[in-house]
Amino acid sequence: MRIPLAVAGFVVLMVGSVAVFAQEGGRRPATVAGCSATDFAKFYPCALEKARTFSPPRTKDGQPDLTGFWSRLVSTEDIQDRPEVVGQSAQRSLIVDPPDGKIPYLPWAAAQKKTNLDKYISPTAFCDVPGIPRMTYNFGKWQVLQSATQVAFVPEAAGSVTRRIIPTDGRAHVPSSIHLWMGDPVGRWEGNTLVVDVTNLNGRAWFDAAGDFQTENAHVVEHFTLIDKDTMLYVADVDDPSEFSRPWKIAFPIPRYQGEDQEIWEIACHEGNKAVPPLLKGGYNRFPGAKPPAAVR
Amino acid sequence: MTCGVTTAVAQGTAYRAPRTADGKPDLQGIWQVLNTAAWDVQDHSGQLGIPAGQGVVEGNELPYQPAALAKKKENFAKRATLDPETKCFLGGVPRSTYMPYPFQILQFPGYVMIAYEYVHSTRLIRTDGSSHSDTPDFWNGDSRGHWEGDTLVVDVTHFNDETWFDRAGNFHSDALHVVERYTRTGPDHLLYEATIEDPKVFTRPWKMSMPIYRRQEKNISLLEYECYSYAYDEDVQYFIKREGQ
Repeated sequence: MRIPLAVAGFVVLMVGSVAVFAQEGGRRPATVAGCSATDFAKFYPCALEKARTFSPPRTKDGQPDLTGFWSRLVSTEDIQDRPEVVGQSAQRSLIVDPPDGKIPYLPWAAAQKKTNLDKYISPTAFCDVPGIPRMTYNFGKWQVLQSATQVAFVPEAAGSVTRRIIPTDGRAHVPSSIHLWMGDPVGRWEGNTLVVDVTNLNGRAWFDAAGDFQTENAHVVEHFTLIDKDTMLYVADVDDPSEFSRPWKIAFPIPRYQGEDQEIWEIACHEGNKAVPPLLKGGYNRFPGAKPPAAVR
Repeated sequence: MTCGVTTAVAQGTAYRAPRTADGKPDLQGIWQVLNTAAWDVQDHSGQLGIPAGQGVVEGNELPYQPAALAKKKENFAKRATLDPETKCFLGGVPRSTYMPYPFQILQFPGYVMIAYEYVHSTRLIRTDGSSHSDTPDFWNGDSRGHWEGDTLVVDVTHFNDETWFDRAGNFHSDALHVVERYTRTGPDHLLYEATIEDPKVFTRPWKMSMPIYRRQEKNISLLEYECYSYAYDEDVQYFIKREGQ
């Protein structure tokens, strides 16, 4: 059967996570790699301990082998503690530092988040790319490819079309006046971990659908580490002194995709997006970005 | 023949591409065309905003069926609103190759990836002998690759009928079948050839070819062109207007 694949952003936004869990065989497991899959504050130290002793398979080039298909365990609706809502179970905060699991907003930024919830809707509803770190928890299935000097991420399902090409050849960032929806990633291997330093963000992406936003000053350092052959530990260190009172950290597991369909297909988001006129008419506007007040810039 | 480039063999190209770690011709790098096919794949005079150019089509003529030729003329007349590029839609194949943005070729064991700067469009091409499966229709089609000597041959089917060949209204149907050939002809050049077949639109297959140039800037990096995101910045009502078309 040949059917057109077109995803309405509105549908993705509202039911994406549920659909993904269903596709991947149902409910969220209680544990992954012997660590909690629901309480990320417990998962993180447990995963670090696993990573200390696990010897990952290697590519021909001798790098830890992250290739293959990966899936999503966490929801992109809200990275902080989220109660049960219609169609979706509760989710503990993905933030493992600070220990209270809350984003350490400066006062202006906490106010901006409230404005975001009132006036704007997640940029992914407009098929804008999800940005960093959201890309890592925005897709149902994604593929990692590796060569000696670059790592590529190619996602499918539940969101905007995009991809990441992460050079690991020691190059420098592009000039700081260039701002990119997906930022400029510079990768390196540190022990068994792929570390990706992301700068040059454009301050338009959100961390989730709950109004949690970033500015163009954001600096994200991501860490991808195998903790067993079928599980990655993902850690993102987020820093932006113009928005947050201190650096903070996200951590969660990424399980290997277990479906038979080990192939990535094109999903055209913008091309089939019929959701935008109703959103705009309903008073949901597109997030234009937020500038920190002069005092903290 | 008005066509500027024929096959690598006919050119007497003796160049042998360097090999990747797994022994395949190395096509990697950031590439871009230097021609006017984005505006019109055929010979054309200059107009305001359109540079004159010699076409990239062998023999210059596109063998349209009569009804299709009428549609092409209508597309041309209404190109300002009908061209899918004006709506920031995915470019399709072969158009993405010669749009005015760079693209990057990456190679991995069993795969060639073509990453276009335009809207992060990406083709992940399996070269492991897999065949077209029962896939849906895609904007960029379903690409399956194999190596013939120094040439990457990509067979592309399962297209939708929404993309065009250029800004001049040249178009195809969902019966489009493209066979692309990518051949290194030197350290900094690729020869790109595409054979186009579409029994609903054309009376016979036709072919285009063009050189593609390696971007020479030392600091070249594939950035991004988020076409529709910028369009919404300019005018967020864009969506409503688009729906009204």
